[in-house]
Amino acid sequence: MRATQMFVGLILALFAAAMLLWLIPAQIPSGFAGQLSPRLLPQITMWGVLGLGLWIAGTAVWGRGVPAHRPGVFARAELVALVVLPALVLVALWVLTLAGPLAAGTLLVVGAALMMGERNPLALVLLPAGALGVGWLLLYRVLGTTVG
Amino acid sequence: MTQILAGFPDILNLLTLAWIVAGVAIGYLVGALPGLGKATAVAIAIPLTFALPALLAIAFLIGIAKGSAAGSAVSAILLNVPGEPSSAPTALDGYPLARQGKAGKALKAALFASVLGDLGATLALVALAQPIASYALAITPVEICAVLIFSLTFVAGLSAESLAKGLVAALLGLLVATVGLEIESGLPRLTFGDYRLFDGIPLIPMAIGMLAVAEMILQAGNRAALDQQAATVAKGVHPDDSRMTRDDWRRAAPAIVRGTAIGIGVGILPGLGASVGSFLSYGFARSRAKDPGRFGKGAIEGVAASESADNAVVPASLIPLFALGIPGSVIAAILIGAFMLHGVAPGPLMFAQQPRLVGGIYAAMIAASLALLLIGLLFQGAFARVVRVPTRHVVPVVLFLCVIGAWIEGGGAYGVQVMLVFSVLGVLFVKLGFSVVNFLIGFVIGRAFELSLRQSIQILGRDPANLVSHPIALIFLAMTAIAVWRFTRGARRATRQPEET
Repeated sequence: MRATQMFVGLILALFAAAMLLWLIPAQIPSGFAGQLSPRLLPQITMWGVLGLGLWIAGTAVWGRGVPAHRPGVFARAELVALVVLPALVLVALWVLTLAGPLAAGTLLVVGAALMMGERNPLALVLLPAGALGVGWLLLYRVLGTTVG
Repeated sequence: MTQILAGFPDILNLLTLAWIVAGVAIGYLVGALPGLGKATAVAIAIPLTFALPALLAIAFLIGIAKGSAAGSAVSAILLNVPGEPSSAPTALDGYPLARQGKAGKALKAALFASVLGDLGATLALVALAQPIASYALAITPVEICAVLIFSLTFVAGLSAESLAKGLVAALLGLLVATVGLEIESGLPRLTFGDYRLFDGIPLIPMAIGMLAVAEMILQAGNRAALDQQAATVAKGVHPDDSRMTRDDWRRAAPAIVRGTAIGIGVGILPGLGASVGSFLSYGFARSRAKDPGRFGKGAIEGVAASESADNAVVPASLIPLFALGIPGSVIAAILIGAFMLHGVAPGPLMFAQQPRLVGGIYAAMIAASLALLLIGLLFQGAFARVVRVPTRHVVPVVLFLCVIGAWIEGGGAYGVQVMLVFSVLGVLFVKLGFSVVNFLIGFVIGRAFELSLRQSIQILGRDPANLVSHPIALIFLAMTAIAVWRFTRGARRATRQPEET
């Protein structure tokens, strides 16, 4: 737990330092004479994150301020879901351009259901039918807009 | 009062009442869907009102806003997925109640608190819109900046694992809000040359990603345990588990009164929004409780406090809109577009130039509050059945609706991409103990905060000593220091206790 907290604090501090030294000067012009710089708020936020990141890392090192509630590290199933679900959405977006909203929506719902462990054929038919039906009713009939 | 009396005859006809009820019903339904909040609902409904007269259109849109503000509690209670950030504190006690088999009780508490908070704030709008204008004019950017700093600090202490992590989340939210063209100079910031970022990162896809999709990913990773919980939720069979008892009302009533007052106060102040209101109300109810240990484990007054404030903010945020033409919230900002579309310019002149329309809007808002109660009571049973649906069926459907919401609000595939990026960030935030809600609040108030900060620096002549001439700002800065001290001390105690035991 403490190692995780220390790691998180250091990552935050490094991110803030990189922003202050490199990204903000490279990505935000210094502004016009007589005006407050557009860099002002981004720099304030990053100085804050730098200080708080070091504080989080420091309290973890010295064992103080690490709260009673301890967030767990990622379980394997969570890591799989973190990769598979966003990937599924990206594939559905790609299919949308090739085959239209019906195929993309079906792929998204059936893919997610299969990923969640659904194997009942009836459910695998009814789920996309219901979801796409509601989506069609809401978008095309009620709101009068489209997808795709 | 004469305005509102003149307005009732204009709305007491079948057509107008039907549009109000339809607005509330659609809003309640959309609000109940995770990640689809009132801003989304109103924004996507505006095109529907092109052909309607001004009063019908505005009454319909305000009905949607009110309905979705109340409906967002449904998913917070039943699925632990807040319909929008302002319902996050509702989930803190609503979801534990649902897991204890008291989903019906929690939903009714949320509904009654929503209706009472909304009705109270609507009456406040009617009573205060004109008089408040003179007081609101006295608030300078220095005070606004101080209030925003206090709000961020207070919410950071309440919503995150530690104050430091809550503040980091808020600061990152402020940083992300700076992406796009800068307000004063028009220079691009952190856009990496991508023109789609010039308008900034769209709020709704980001919020859907961080709240709803991140929750779906986490639920997908814990589906076996969650299906067990859902089975437990469905087991509540005692009649008292699905209704508000006298004892529940005794606990909830003070929280509703205070929550409504807090919601009105927060709604009037531009930039704070419903999330600040619901968290402040929840924190206040907890601090006033005889047994604060019940909070987070299923305290009915926690649900009541959060929902009353959340729903009071919507009408209250129209006070600065109606009185000064300044939007007090995201929803008010979206409604400005609808007003202008129908040839109505919100502001002080509206009272003089279109008094009958103002009266009609007031009457429609009160009718919408009553419609909210009716629809909630009639359809809550149907919504409560969601808890019996296994996670393997909920996740695909919610993911599908999230993609649709992000697509519409983010302008196509770009919105979905933004949603995905922030869903990954949301998962990391949750797993590492950072506050997603505080990040989003930081993002939403980012522009207002930056503007007030810049104006404050200029007003104070770059000399902090000039703060002496702004006593209200000094009070809020002192309250910020006290909040930091209290939350830091609280965290140390919480750390020490397990070590001692």
